[in-house]
Amino acid sequence: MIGEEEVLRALRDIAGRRDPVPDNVLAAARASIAWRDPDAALAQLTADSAASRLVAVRGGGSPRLLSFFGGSLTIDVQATTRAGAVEMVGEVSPAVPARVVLESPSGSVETDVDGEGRFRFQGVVAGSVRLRCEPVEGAAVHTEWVLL
Amino acid sequence: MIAFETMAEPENAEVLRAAATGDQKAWESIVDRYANLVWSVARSFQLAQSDASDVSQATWLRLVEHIDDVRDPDKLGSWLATTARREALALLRRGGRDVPAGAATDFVGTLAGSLASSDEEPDAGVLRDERDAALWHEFRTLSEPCQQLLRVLIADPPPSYAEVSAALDLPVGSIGPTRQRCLGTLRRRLGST
Repeated sequence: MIGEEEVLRALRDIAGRRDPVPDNVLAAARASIAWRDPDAALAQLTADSAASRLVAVRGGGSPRLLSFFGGSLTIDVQATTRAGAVEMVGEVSPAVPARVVLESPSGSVETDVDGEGRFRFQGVVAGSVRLRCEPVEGAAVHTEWVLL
Repeated sequence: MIAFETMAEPENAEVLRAAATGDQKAWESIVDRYANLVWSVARSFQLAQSDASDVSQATWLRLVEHIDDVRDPDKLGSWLATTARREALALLRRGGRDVPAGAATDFVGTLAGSLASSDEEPDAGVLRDERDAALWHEFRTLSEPCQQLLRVLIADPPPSYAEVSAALDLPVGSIGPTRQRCLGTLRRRLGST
């Protein structure tokens, strides 16, 4: 009978050849340090409807509600996924003139909030995203990363 | 016999400090050390390639986000394993990615598919492929907890029991006995074929 260590080594060998870390995954991991943003305050996730739901369908069309708080700003977001693309409708409060940047390893886009602090992004690629809120007056805030 | 405990990484603190200032080389040395562990944890939850890729990315971005406040640098591997587990579970709870049925290729599917096509490596070996196929077949008949534990244990480099414990939320003391039981079953089945 072959030994325990021999079996484990053989399995590790198979996994190494047949299920290695994909090149693009490794490249993304190596590139992720570029997302360091020490100058912006971190707005932490304070509520996530997906965490309280027993069963939710990712991409099933039901909106996911996310709330972040940090740097004296609250950012509420409703994310709706359809066919792999996400629409994000959000609100910054208090409503101050600000630019909001949707940051993602697959590309970043930005917009200005309206008079009531609201903003919207469409056609967001599902994956890890975060928001960076840059008030015209005051310090920038970025949210935690969330996986959409 | 190789002990499957790796040494603590005393240089983690220094490398983390350098990475926290944006040092690309330091960061890459961390990624290269732990990328396979993070990937293995995601795959141990039977996530498809695309979902495991998302979990991996989310885990690394989380480390960048918290690079200044990882409390115990010597437990970096455990921190990453815990984070990967949480991201994997959160994704599973949300029902996985919205992909057309049949498009998802899970760990099992990938391996079964590549084991079936021996065209890839014509000479190296038919023998090795046969051995792999037999071993894999028996592995796949193990209970889910055994398959999950072994998938993490075969990460490369071999994880410490503390890291495995973090990856699967199991008491450290249960890993040795469970490993022995799972491998015992596997070896008996291999011996009887």
